[in-house]
Amino acid sequence: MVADWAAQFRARGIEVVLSPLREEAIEVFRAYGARDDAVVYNARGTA
Amino acid sequence: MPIEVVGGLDGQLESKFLAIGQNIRVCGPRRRGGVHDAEQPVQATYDFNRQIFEEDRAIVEVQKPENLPLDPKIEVNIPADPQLRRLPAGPARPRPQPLLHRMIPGAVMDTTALATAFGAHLPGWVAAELETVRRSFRPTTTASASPTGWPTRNHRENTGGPFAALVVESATGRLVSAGVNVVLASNLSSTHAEVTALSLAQTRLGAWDLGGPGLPDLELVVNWRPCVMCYGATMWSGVRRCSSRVTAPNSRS
Repeated sequence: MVADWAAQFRARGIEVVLSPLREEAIEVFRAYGARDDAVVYNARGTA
Repeated sequence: MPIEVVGGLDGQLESKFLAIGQNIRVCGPRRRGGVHDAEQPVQATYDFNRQIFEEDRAIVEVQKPENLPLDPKIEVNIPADPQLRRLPAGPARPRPQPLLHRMIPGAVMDTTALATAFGAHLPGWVAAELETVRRSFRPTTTASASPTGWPTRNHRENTGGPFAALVVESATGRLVSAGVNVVLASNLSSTHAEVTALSLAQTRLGAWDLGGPGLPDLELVVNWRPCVMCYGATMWSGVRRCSSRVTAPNSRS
């Protein structure tokens, strides 16, 4: 992802509203990554 | 033995099938004249060949050779061709699926096996969640795009990854569509939550341009920063606003 993705959105008339990172969001991904039975759908097999 | 030959087959053609190395069954008319069949009754050969031709009659009679792609440049060019010419040394190496019509001049490609439509559906629990939200009078965005809400349930339900997205009217918050990641359920790698929500909004409104004339400003609400595919999908969709609940690095990168 390009670093200026939000600026590029704005340049095309798309307003970007970013909320601060929340701990509970990280926790969801931590729980997802901790699963040993989850299918990670990375078709390039580099996960 | 990867190939089963029933009836007769000339040596050149048989070697091509063997080169393909697939589990296929090849049927052809049986020839006579060898020492091995000198003692066999000729009627058995007639019967066998009649059966072979009858099985293929319907296919042969609908073939239209004039419709074959006579210009090789208008044929589908696939990477399998050069790979087929470089046959692997060992049997364990994966081989590309060949197109038989390129191996056998004059054969007609079977287009009936090609898919002509695709689609995806939201899992049933999303509708139930929406009904719960409606009854509780909570803002839909809070309930669904919250990382502890639908994203968590979505990966636990094995529908896809922990992602949810909404399309809402920016001014009023009115819900236009709700989506979750349904990659695993749909077997479509592009059905991320953002693509699902945008597609459902476009389907509902009957418009490929969500920023088109007569429509209110629409906003895509996501629970995580978009991936590169969804970034492009959002830009092409016509929404006027993208709000992200978190700004962490992209989990799919």
